[in-house]
Amino acid sequence: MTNLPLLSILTFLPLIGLPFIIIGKLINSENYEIISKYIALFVSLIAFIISLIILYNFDISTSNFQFNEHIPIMNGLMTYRMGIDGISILFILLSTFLTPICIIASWNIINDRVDYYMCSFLILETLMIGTFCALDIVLFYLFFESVLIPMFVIIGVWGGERRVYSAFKFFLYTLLGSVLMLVAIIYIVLISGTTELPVIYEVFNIDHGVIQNLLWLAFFASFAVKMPMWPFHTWLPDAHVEAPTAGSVILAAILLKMGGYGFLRFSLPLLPDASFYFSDFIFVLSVIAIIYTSIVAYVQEDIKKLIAYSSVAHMGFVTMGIFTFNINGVQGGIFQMFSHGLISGALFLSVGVIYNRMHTRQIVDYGGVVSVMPKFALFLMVFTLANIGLPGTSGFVGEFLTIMAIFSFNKIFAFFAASGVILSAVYGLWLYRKVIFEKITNESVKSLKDLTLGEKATLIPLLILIILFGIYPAPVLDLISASSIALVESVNLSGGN
Amino acid sequence: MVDLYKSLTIIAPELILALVAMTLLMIGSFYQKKSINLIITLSFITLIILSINELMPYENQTFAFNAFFIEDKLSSFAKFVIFFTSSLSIIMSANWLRNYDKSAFEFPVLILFSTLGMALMVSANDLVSLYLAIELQSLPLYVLATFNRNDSFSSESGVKYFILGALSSGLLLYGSSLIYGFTGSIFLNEISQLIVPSNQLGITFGLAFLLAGIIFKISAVPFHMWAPDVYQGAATPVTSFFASVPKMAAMIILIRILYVPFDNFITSWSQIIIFVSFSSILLGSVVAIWQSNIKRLIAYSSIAHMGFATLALSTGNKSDIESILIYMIIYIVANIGFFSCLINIQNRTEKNIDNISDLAGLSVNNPSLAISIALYMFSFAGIPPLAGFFAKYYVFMSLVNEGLILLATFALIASVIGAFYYIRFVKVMFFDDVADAKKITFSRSLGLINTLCFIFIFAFIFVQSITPLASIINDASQALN
Repeated sequence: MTNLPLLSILTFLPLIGLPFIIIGKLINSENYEIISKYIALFVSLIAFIISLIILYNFDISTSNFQFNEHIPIMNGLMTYRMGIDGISILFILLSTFLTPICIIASWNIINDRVDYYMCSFLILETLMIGTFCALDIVLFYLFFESVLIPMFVIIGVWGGERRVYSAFKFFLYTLLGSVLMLVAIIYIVLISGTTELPVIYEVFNIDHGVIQNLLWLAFFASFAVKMPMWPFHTWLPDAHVEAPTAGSVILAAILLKMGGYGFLRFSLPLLPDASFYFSDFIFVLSVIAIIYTSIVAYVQEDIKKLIAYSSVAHMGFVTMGIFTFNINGVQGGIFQMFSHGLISGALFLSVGVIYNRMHTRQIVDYGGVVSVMPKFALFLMVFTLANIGLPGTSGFVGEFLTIMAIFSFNKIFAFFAASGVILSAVYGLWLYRKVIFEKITNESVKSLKDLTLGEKATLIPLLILIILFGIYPAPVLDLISASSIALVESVNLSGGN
Repeated sequence: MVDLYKSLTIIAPELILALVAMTLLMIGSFYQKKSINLIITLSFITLIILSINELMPYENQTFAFNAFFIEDKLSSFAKFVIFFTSSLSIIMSANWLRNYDKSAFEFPVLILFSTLGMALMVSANDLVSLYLAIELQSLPLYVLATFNRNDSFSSESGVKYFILGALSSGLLLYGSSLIYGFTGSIFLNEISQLIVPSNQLGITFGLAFLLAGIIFKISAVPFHMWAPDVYQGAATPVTSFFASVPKMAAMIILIRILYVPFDNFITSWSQIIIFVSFSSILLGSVVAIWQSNIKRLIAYSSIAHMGFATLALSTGNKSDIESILIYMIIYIVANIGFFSCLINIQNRTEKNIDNISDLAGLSVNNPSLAISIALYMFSFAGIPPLAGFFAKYYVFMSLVNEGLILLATFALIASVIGAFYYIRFVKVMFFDDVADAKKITFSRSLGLINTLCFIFIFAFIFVQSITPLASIINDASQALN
């Protein structure tokens, strides 16, 4: 079993769905839509099962890279090197878990060019998994950057009214960030004479100085835009608002995590001194992100925009946690990314549920939904509370760990970060009250129908995981602990504090 | 006598090409429209055979006709690309030519003559044969630019091209005469030894003029002004030829001029090249934003791409020739692929496809065309994993290796500006709605060319890993060492 190149199979499996979708359209042009939906769902479920097999064979006791695959290609320009550790497998599982949910969530909503849509999602899944599997710095860049193409198409074709503007903004903003990273990658490759990340970890060692700081800033430009950190977050609200529901889910749950993953995989281990040097800078940006975007979220009139700003605020905890260089902080940051993936995905799906019925995202158009959609109100309550970070939900664990780590690092920052939790309660509960409670002012709310079976099928798995990992986070923490301990040790060793 | 025989065998491909071109010209003028299929087929076959012939292993370096011509790995690789791409250009224009008036046969013949000029150009080893070869490739190009005789834009573009081209030839000649005057030699491989330090100023002067003439041919800033007008005015198959083959030839001769005779002048010319390349990238990327005409936009895009290719020259390191060659190959393939789609659309629709907005809604009825064009555009923009990314990757690898990190950073930022107009194609084809889009089928030859280009661009990682392309390019880039 373990002799199979499982990671390559998992990465490129979604692409196998593409020819079937095309053939399906050629053979049966009448019902091609439903055929392509089933093919996409089937393929993404198989990918999920394979990722579970990988999890089953994964050895959590070691921080070494596992499931290694190594083929030199392109005449030494790069190598095809794949491998995972505890951090990457978590995000791979998140990707493979959310993709089928996204496909189910789009089942009855997307009616235009369904085959393209499903193909885009399958390509996107391949690229996301590839990003987390790649252990070659150029290969990583290939996957990381290619994600732009399907996401650009998803926002642009199936998005809302201002989709063109948002798609362009998303594309150019992230492209600008990543070209700077490309220069840094080329520099590192030339210095260390190899593109394989594990080898670079060993041989790449430059003294702290201007060059290391510049390299760090180049990586930062890419990851901070992707994350997004304040003040590079302005593309996110636009992209989220205009993207179709499933696009928002993938964007919030996985694409944003690539930034945090990049910090963990590149900035910290490769440039530890610069990471220490800039940690205050990161802290200030994160605190501003937490406080400022929480306040901005509070005044939003658009539900999706509110959740988008709340994402920025939550990502602030992640960056703070990572840059404490402390085991609690790093684990908390990773856990927070994972849990935010589940929670923000669930929130966007919930917004999608009411948006599909009302075709408006304005908060004022709702109110009193609880009396017509009680089940939905229950789901949304759990998700909102999880977003706030209520104990017993997965949102609490990550925030608690990071704030604890920040407290041991710097008490003033910890104060501000903790106040962000209160602010998130302010806008979260405010949103919940405005949408779910109060009197029905809009007549069309009265005719709303409660959750359908398909919607339940997408929301229940998320609900279960959010509560499960809130009460018992050990499985996730065990999975990531070996790798994060190794990471923290290596950083503190070479960072030299 | 032995020398003559040896020289003749060395330039045998060019001789065959000249003979075929003249024969076809005679056939064409006697049989006119009836012979068009024969002429297209014969010229295609000739070019393909000649291009394969160039891949045969040669001696490292041979001279012909008292070192007037040089045959080395670089020139044979360039000729392979030139012959092959020209043959594709002829095939791509076949459908359009069949519906053209009785003078259609001139088109393949002109392309053959121009190709002959380019083949001589890349193997020129002295300033006179260089000038003659450049003129031989340019004159048919002037005629080709005006090929749409009934179109006033086409005539205008031809005249503009001719006047500016004549000016650039004048600059080139003036530069050559200065260099000859100060060194006493016209042979490229001798000049470097004959340079006396006291003559440096004069030679730098001559070099600047020489470069101006060649930079005009690759349409880089500041000698780019002709490109948008000529691209727009010429018929689309002609534009596709302009955008690909002559660029390759001019780039090779630029490499040869800079690295053979003026190898020791790197400090003087690297400044010029840095200016030329960076301003081309900037201008090509920024000005294209306001263009709505497809061919005009492609002209600005080619200016920017020439900027990226010459960027690798600015390092002054011979090992970076490989990056330039790879960049040119990828640029040419993406161009051919894009134009094969565009020509196909123009052949099959009644209405004119001039502006980008005319492509609206292409994705609905013609998904394969739309996806192909989108792929080429993403490749032009340099998005991985497409070939265009690797083209840029090689160039920036060279730059960073030589410590030109700041230049690399600025050029990459400018390329983000360029990405804006490339993704506008995707926006028009995929995001915009249009009421009446007709189903367009691929003609067999264009479909085949498009498929090949598509595979090359999409699966460049495999192409580079599996095919001997990399080692051929590597051999070619070693030729000047």
